[in-house]
Amino acid sequence: MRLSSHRLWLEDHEIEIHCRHYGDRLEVQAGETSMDLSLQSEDEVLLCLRSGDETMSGVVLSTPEHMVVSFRGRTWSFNRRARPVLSAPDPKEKFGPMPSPMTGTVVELACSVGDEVAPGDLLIVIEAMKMEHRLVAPGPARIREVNTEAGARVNIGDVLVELDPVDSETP
Amino acid sequence: MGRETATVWSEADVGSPHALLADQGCTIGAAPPLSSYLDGDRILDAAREMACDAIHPGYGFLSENAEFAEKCAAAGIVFIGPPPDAIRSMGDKGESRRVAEAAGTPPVPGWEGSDDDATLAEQAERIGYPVLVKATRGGGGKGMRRVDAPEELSGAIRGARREAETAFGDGTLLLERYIHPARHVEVQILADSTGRVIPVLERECSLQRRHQKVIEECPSLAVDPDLRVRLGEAAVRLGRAVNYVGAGTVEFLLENDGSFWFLEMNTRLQVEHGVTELVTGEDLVEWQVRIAEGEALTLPDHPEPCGWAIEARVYAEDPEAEFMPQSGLIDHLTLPAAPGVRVDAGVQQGQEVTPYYDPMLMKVLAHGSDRTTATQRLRSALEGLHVVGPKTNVAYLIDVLESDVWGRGDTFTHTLEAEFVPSPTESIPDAVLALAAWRLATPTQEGSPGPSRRRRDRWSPFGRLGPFRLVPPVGGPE
Repeated sequence: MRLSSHRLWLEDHEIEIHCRHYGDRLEVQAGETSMDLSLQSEDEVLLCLRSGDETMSGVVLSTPEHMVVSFRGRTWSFNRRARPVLSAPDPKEKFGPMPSPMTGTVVELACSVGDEVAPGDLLIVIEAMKMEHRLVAPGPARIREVNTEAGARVNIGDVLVELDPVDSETP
Repeated sequence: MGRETATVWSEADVGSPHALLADQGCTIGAAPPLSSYLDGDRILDAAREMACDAIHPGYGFLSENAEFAEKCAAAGIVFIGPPPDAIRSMGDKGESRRVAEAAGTPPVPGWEGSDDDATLAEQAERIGYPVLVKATRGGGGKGMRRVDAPEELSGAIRGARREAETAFGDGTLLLERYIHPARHVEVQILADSTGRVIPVLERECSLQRRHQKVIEECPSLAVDPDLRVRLGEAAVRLGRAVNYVGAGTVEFLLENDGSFWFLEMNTRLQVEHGVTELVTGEDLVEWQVRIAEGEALTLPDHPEPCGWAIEARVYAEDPEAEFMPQSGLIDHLTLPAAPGVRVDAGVQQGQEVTPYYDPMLMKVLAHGSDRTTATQRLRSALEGLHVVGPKTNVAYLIDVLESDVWGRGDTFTHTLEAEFVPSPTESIPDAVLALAAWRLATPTQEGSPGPSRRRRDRWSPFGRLGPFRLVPPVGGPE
């Protein structure tokens, strides 16, 4: 019997995994979960494990920094090293610069500098892959800056507008 | 068939599977479709240069463009598709409604004609809300809006017109009654140059999102042999009315009482043609080529279904963020392989999914002796599909196929959007922890780059992943 411990991070969530190796078997404990695993098959990155009468198969890609698991149509991307501690998120963080969520073309600019907008108000319509996507105000805000125009091509992450939060109580 | 093939690609598609499969090919322009796949003259120049006898236009871009079909004919190149007049009359929704009416295949009640805002508002009142605003030249849900109340009409008209102008270069609109609940049932037809037109079973494609089909099956649970005959006859009447030649699809809305309305005719191969191929054993693309070469059909008048086939479309999109299209590098791709399973993939590992085209990555199809078997096979196939890179709708597809709604066949055009709202996954499944733990605890596999690792090195699996985007960015769509 051999013991090993590992840690993974999913965003800021830390997962501790304790393993007991018994020959071909692996006893795994992670939080509340404990499993008794054996290997059914392995083909390059495709792993097929057995736990009791359950079979689980997925793809695991790993590097010293990351581990990606693909299982039943979803992908989990873990970090293998702790991320630097970030300060608590500012509740106003959702305001400020508003980045383009995608690469595409601005087909409608529905706001201008100085406008006061309510939560859900349409700001910009971006077209990508022949479909339209609407960017809306995350909360009551005033438009501080507009950095794009109708017809402009934008890249993912480009700051399109900047918002200042407005106290919703203000008339 | 033993034919030599040539293909074309845009700069964004260099090295994509279709480019690698053909005997020869060339680049026809930049990534935006207008500079490449929609530029008929460039495609014809390329065809002449490569000494092509015929052009198969696929199922997007110029496949329903009558001018392109005429240009092919003028250049002495066979266009593998119907005559330009058939494309033209069925491509215009107003005209196709008139032709269908005259052929005895009644269209969905609606309005086509003058499309100024005032007339549309008046006609919408007459037809009764909810109505659908549609692009006359449209297809695939582009330039289409559902309007529930009069005050939403002008915004919908504006959006639909703009989308139609971008996608089809023509912003003309029409109105149709929104039929609810309805199933989308379509009839595959084949017609040869002797004038013989036959119906090759129906497909049900009710499960749609934003008017884009997601899961399709052949045959349909809602169609009994008697209805199959009536649907087939209605489709054949329309095919005859436009002197159709080749493979085409006549789409209907089917109501619970068995009444059906003509929706539109697609004068090309459909994305979902594969399910028909699986239950008939016929290769529809091969038939397109043989018909274009003047061969007569050898199929019976009413082909019978053999088993059941289901197709799921795999899109690069994020179901948990309003199905926003995703792009990026495919770091890893495992395709499923099993009896009865067919995968039509347009991408491969190491390829970049670009934002220029439809986000469909592949189609996964399964065939079985009955619907339950086909469903099980498709579910297993989707569980065995692994795409690492852009997010996909695979988990969503599995959820739908596992649902009671699917099991009962309660599939209507509104079902997906009304009953399948994906919610963000909250906890990590035990299986994911198990797989991660096994890999972490099995050091022989780790750190020692085996042959498989070296094979992937060219694409540097993680160098390009960059910061993981686990959370939809602030300010995403509503």
